[in-house]
Amino acid sequence: MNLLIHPLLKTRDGRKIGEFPIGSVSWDAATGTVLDCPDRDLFRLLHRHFSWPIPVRRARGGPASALLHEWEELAPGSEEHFREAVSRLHRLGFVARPLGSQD
Amino acid sequence: MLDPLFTLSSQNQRLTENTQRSSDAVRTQALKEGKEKGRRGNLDSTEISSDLNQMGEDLLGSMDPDLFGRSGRSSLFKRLWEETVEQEAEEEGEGEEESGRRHRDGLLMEVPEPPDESDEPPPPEEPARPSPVLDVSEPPASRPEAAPATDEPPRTGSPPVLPGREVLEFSAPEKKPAPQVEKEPPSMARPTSQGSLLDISEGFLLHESTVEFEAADEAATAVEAEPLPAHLEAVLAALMQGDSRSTGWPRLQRLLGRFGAGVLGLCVAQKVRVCLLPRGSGLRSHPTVRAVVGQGKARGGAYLPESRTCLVEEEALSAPPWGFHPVLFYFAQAWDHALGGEEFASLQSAAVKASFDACRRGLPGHTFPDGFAGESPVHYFAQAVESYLAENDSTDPLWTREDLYDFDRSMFSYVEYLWRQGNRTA
Repeated sequence: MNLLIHPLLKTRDGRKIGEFPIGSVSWDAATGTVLDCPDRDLFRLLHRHFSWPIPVRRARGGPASALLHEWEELAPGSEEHFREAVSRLHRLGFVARPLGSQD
Repeated sequence: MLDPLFTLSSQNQRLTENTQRSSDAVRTQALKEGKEKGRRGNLDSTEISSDLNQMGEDLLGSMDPDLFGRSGRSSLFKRLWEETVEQEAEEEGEGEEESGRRHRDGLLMEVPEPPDESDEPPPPEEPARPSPVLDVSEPPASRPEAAPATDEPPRTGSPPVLPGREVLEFSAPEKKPAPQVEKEPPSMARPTSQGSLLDISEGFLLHESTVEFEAADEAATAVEAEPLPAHLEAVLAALMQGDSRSTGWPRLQRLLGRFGAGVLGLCVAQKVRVCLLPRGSGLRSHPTVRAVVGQGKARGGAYLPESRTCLVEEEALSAPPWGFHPVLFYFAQAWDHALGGEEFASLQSAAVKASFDACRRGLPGHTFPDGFAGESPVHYFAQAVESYLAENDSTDPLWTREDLYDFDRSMFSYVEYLWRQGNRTA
């Protein structure tokens, strides 16, 4: 899974995805998360984001019994952790998009 | 092969050229510095910024440096000074002319013979500026009030005035500012009126922002203390169960009130209940939850579809929860259940199913907040409603209203439509 990291630009009509990517991130079961970002500061920020444990919600029960959740901490090194980290990139002001996707 | 002599001579020539070039550079630099020093020496730029050189006369206005004797018109100031000295010398008597020394403002200065009162300009050989010589042994007797002025630093910024009047102008303003300061109220207490960016009489922005923060906190507590509308309070009374005297009760009322009276009325009609669990008795005190979770750590809230009951822990209301607010999330599931009748409406709605499918496939403009929202359309819809109605209730929220608008616009529009439609029919 190869993703390009784009910056989020604040515009009058909400946030827009910047045209030029700042780097890329990919996941491979053999190598794990591979991050590429030429900017050293942004690389440090992204590296910390992708190597930090992430608390996630776990659904418990179902419509037949009860709907509730539990918190669980995801350790880095799994594809699920990678997906959760990608979905929360917007909190850093970035967004990850597959190569060739158009919004 | 080159002749070694030729090589040597060519190297010497290069060395000579380099030497000449470097010496030229040094000489050029020295000339530049000399010119710069000469240019600076002609200018009296002690109190006037060099930016004035870039300003036109029309922009300078009354701040024209010529009025302060800076540039080419300084000769006018010099001539005025000389004429003043001449007039004073004539007034104080010609008997002292032989001494050639006179005192002015505590300074003894060499004064040459007064020029003839003719229309001819003074000869350039005369001293342009009298050199002040401090006379300690012989204090001035005629003008004792001018003596302290000698200890003060030279006031180069004062406009050119007559020397005899300098003493009066120095002594008068020293007593004036004191009563003005006493009369004026403290600048922080005055009402704010931003006339100029350079005006700091209203205080600094840091002070104003602090006042705004305090006002916002007070406003928030005031909003909590305000009574709810009567029709909303009646609906909430039919909906909520628990200890109404607990501290989390009014907070729960405010959170549920965001759904609107129409939505709440629909839930009441579908026999939905919201139970506020007292502090200390967690979700596991309910047998259904205990059967599902076992020894797990379920916190915040839960929704029981069979009994259409929404459970809320009081601990979730006392402090901002992390990530999302369980009250909004689980009551959104109750609303979803009430809309659908026997089944959840999100499982039947084409709009929710289409958005959910688009997010699952990763289509542009459709994004799941996290994996939990992608569990089912029920969780997806509840998370969208929670994001839509959230007002900075939780710490470090996972998905805000702005995120829903920016990253899942179709779901934002659908929730907005449902919410408005539900409250319009009420």
